[in-house]
Amino acid sequence: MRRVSTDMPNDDMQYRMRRNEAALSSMQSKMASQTRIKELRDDPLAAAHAVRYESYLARLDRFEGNALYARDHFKTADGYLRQAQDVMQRVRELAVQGANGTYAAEDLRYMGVEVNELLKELVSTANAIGPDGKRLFAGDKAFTEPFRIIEGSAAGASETIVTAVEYQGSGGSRRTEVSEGAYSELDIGGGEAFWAEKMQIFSSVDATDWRAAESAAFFVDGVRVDLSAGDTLPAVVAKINDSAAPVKAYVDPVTRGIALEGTSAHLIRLEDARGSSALKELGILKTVSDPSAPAWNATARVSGGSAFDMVLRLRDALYRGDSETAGGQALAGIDLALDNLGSRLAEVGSRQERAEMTWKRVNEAIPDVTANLARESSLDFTKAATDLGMLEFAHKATLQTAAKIIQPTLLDFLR
Amino acid sequence: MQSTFAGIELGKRAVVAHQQALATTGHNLSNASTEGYSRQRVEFSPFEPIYLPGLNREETAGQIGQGTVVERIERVRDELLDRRIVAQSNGEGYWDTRDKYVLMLERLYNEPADVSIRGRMDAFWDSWQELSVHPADSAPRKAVIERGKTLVDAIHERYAGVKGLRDMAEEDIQGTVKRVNDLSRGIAGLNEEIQKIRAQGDNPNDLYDRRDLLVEKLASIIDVTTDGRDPDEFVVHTAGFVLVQGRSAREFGLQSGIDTEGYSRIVWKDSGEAAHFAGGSLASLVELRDETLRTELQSLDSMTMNFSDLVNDAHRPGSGANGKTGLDFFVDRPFVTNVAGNYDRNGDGAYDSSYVFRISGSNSLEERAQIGLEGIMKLSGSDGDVEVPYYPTDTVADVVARINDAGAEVVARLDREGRLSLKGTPSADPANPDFVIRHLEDSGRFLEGYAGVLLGRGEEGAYDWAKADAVLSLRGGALDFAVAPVAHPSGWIELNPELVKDPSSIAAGYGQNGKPANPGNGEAALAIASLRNGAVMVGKLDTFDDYFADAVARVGLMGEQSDRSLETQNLIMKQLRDMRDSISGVNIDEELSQMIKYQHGYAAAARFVTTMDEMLDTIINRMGA
Repeated sequence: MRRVSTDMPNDDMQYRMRRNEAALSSMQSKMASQTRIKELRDDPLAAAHAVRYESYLARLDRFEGNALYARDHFKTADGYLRQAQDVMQRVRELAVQGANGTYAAEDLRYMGVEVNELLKELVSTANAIGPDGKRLFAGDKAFTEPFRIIEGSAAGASETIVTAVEYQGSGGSRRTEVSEGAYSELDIGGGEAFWAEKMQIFSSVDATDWRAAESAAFFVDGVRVDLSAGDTLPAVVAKINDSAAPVKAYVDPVTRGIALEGTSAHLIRLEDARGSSALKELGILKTVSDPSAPAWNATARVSGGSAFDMVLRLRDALYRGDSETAGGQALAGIDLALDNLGSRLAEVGSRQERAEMTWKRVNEAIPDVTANLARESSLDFTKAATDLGMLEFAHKATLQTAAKIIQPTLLDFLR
Repeated sequence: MQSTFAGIELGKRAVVAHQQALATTGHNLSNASTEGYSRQRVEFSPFEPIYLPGLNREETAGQIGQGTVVERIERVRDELLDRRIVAQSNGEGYWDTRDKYVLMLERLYNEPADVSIRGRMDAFWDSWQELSVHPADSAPRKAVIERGKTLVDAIHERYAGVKGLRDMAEEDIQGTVKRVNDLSRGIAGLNEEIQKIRAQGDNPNDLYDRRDLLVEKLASIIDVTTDGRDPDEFVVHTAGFVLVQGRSAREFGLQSGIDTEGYSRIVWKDSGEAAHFAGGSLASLVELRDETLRTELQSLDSMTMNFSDLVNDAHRPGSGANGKTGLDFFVDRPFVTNVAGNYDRNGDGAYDSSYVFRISGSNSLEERAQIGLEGIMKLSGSDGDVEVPYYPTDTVADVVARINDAGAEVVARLDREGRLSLKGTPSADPANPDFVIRHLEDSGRFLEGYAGVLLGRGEEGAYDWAKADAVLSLRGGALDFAVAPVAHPSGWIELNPELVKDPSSIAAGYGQNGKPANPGNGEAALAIASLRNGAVMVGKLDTFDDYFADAVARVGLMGEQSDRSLETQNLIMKQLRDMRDSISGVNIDEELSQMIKYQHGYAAAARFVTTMDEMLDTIINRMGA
């Protein structure tokens, strides 16, 4: 354009200055907030990545916390289980002593008294409360005392003594998420930790002609087993064996009823689903009004006791002066209990190790993800400072040029 | 023989002409900074010389010039460049308006920072994680309530923000339509005056300038073309229709209705037909209000609806520390309180549609099981039904993925118990309600017996919303469907007030076999926490992370596009305007030198008159004395 009107340089300068000022202001604000993305439009795709990383970081922080909590919880449980193991060791010593035929009945009775005290110690260890005020070995019944002592009078004792120890807790366990989609079981129930013998339940009801009613179901160790209408006993047995419960089922050849056996030493929990009565019909359970009382059918034979049952057996043998039982059945029972405690300790120990490893892994991932986030959304200060310097220089130059726009016109030269 | 006073007459003519030229130069100088002014130039032309051919002409050599007159006063203007500017202006107007609104929309997101909805949802999720580790405590429950409230507040804020923008756009539209009408009327008025002045043979330059200015202002609001071929009838066209023709201008009006959610539609006032604009700030406002911001609201609603539905689904079967069960976490406001979702859509007093948001099958499915069935499903889509085929070798997961990728307005997932759950999404057509499943049909047995959704195959067994009690054609009972929500869930979502009053009613665990949950059971809390990153189908996206990232990218890209486009348009218009300025702008030096020229001309003419006067003086006073 050869012809330049008077307004043109002014308009042009204003246009440039406005854009300079906008760029300066944007850069200054970015430096003040140390982020490269002041508005989403500055880098939309980096912003989309950045929000993912931010959320992921928040999740990693939580997983780290969860893993540490799990590890500490396992340590506490470990401590109490070891204590219980120590007590059981002492009981075993007493059993071995009592098996020695050289003691008199009086001495055996004194040993029985000590075993009684050790039993109470064992129960109080099993009923331990963790640092957060919840019972450690009650499954997910956080406030219920897992083992209830039942006292009564017995032959050969002057006062009421412990006659039975019942498990009141549940079989469930808390889980916590220690990594994306990965859960860690936190609790170990008293029905698993403090058991000694594999439970066996034999029904004496002949179930050859039994057929399941429609929509029957029952729970074995918390696992739901559904029966279809018309299922026979072999079908029930197959379903129990296929389920995830640690229980083996078979048809007893003698009674032709159902027989259940635990695959490891634990308390088998059986329950009919609401509206169904399959287990009652098969002769395993009976209807009870108190849900915490044992519901075994009177005709069913139930065997397999807890560690406390083993200790009670030893104590009663000692009270009776029966060194043969003390050294035989009772000692074997104590050994089984110790065995189980040992394996549960190993389980807790390995869970603790796993929680520790997960924590380490998450801990290392956090700075990596933070670096990713910084790469997407943080400001490169060196570059920003130099850019700002350039913009300021350009702005100054524009202003200086603007001052010269008020150029002399012909008017200045005409008289 | 010439007349005695011809010379003086000649001189007078010259003096007057130069005076007029000086006046025009002065006019140019005064208006050097007036907006829309184009410099005017006088055109001298010699006066009619004598003698014309005729019988009464003097017998002397001719023709004798008779001085000068101002032929016309022209403004210096490039008509083609003007038309170019008018055609291009609507681009700048469109992007200018759009950029402003999109920037405000971007700022509503508050990303990437932790005060956004996403940040609050992360905090909410964290509180559920805490509850899952300590399900028997009351402090984590209080944290759940507080974080839930903060999240709900953030959602309300965003809803209010987007709705506020929509309302702002509506006000803008109303104001702009008034402006358009004012401008059209102004142009028509000017046309009338110009016509009158032209009838007298004059050039109404300043009125032309004013009219061009009004047209330019109009051009940035709506897309217009001008036609000045007939100088007595200046026509302005827009969107294929005549807007201004000579003295008459057509006006726009506003009509509001239920189908546009109470917002106004722009119509031609005289015919009532809808007006559509292809460019300019008015078109931008309408697009923002009816498409961009509506999509934003739908996206927010979709996230809120799905989130609320999923959390409630996981919370309801759980039991709280006080044993209460069956409580929803978020308040549910159904579109109709009718249990079957029946609604009278056309207002004739009889139920004619079913508004159902979610339909669940009654059978538990295994993700990796091969279905062994064949058929074609028909699901409602944005225009007509979408066909989704399935084959015997597909797994259940394959079929679910195919439903989600089919582009229908129905999405599928397997819920906590493995049942097929079909949900309605926001609809693209404003005539259809959001979050309603409109059609489910299957020619094979997948939806019928396998998933347990429908009662029959083909068209007779199909579920269609266009009849009352459509839920009777579903296999499941009352537990297996959910009624659609009232419009805009993100506006009214609230925590269940029962839970706020008594936080110990918050369910952390699930009970078994109909019994309430044990105090140490945290399974419900874990289930709700797993929603944050599980594949839960938020509209057409897999997880909430996907949803947030997608929303941020979408708005950011809109902003980037409008920023760049506005920059481009600004530059284009600047160049065009600079060119026009170069042609029509006043250059003070030029005007001053013209002024000197005319001054000299004037002085010369005056001198001539004096000389002629002296000559006459000699004849009158000195001849024959």
